Amino acid sequence: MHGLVNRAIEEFARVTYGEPVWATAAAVAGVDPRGFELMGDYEDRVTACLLSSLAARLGRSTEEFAEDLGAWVAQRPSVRRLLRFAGSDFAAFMMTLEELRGRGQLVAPGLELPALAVTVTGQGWRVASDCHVLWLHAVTGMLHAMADDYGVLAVIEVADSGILVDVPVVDFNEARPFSISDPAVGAA
Amino acid sequence: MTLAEATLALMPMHLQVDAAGQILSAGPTLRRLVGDAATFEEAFEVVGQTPTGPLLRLAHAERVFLRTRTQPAQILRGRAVALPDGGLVLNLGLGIGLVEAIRGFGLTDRDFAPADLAMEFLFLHEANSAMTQELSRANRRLEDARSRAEAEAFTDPLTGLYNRRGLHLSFEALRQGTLHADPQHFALLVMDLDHFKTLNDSQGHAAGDAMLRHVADGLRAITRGIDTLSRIGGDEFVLLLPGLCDPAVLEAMGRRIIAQVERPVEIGGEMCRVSASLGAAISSRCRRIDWDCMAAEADGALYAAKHAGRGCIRIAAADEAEGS
Repeated sequence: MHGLVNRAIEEFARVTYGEPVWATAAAVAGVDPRGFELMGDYEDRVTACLLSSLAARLGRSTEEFAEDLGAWVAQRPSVRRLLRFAGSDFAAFMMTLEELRGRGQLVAPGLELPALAVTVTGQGWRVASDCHVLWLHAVTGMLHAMADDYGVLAVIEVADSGILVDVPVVDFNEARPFSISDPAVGAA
Repeated sequence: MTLAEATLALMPMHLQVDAAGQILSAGPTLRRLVGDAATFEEAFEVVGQTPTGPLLRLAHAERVFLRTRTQPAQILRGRAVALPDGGLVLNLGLGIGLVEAIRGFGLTDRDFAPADLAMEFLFLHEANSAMTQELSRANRRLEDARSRAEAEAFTDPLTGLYNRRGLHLSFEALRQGTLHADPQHFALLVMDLDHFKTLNDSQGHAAGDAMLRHVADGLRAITRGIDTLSRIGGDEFVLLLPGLCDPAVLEAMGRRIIAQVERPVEIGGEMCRVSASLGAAISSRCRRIDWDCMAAEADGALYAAKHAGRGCIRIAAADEAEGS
């Protein structure tokens, strides 16, 4: 797995749960407690082991942990901006999810984000992918965060090797402010 | 809608002018860039071509570059096509100035045609700066770790003074004139604590360590910033004192150091006290200014100080230096 993904897990654990949680989980997973290298390339089993040891340490399932992680990453100011670039409203954002993988490649060569296929359903969208189920949960968390950001009320859940996104209320809340030219807008 | 109208509707950055330069139509995004200009002349200055002449000349160039009058730093580029009636149609773009233009004119994603790569360009621009930031944070972390490791390699962790390696580097710097302006004149002082072994044996190593720290603090308190202080093992300290060549001054300095070391200190509830014997070598008295020669001189003087009853300083004499 790309160092960027592992770094995200590391930073999430450190910032949200504190150094001791990170240090213990890192030790169990055989990861250098000083952290990952951003552009490093690590074996997938390192990431898998880290995720399950962090989840176990916190008494949560790996799926729940992956979902929290996805939501947290989407709320980092710079990531949130990159995600908001995809569309001016939630519907446009959903349709450009198919570009997620390509956009990841633009961010960092070798960053393999899952390939997602989006189809419109009666009340929303269905996101299909043959990626690892934990990726599905991470994307689900990210979609939750972005629905909030766009002010949309959405029911989002993993189902049948895909994600179902139902939007009963489109204009649920004000969208958080966003300006493509000014990073300060909506950053707080 | 005619084909011509449809074509213009697809181009939010187009401009249509008649032969006299009157603006007949401007795309909504271009309109934001040129304000309420009514003529080509009011909207643009042509870059890199003679400023006068019929507008039709623009149609001969493969690319035209136009400076906006509203924000002269902003140069648009595009293509001009001549119309049969002498007018022109231009399709313009922002090029590399895109990021500044978006800030300067407050543009949003709706201002660009969906086929335009402007948003992808912006995305890359942001992704690039976010990654650069993250990378430089990672670099800083490495740099911190490196300088910590370096400092640890030169210093004695117990006292914070230089270790033997730090002392040798400092000696070389002094000898080559990078540490002090006058490389020919300095003193090398070696110091052994008296009665330290007794303290260590009776009170334990923790008390011994506390005493070594106390001595180091005392040395720091009475020496100058340019002096080099080191502990090179056990209770053995070495000092380099730039500019100090007068034996009388050096002797006074030695007595101050001894007085400082002799100040009693409370360790583990008991008042403890050690003394020190000092031997010094002066560079100007030495045959060669090198480490082996000066250290041997100073060690000889230290031996003499111990022989004289400890708690004093001896300075290697000039004639002894000649003989060694």
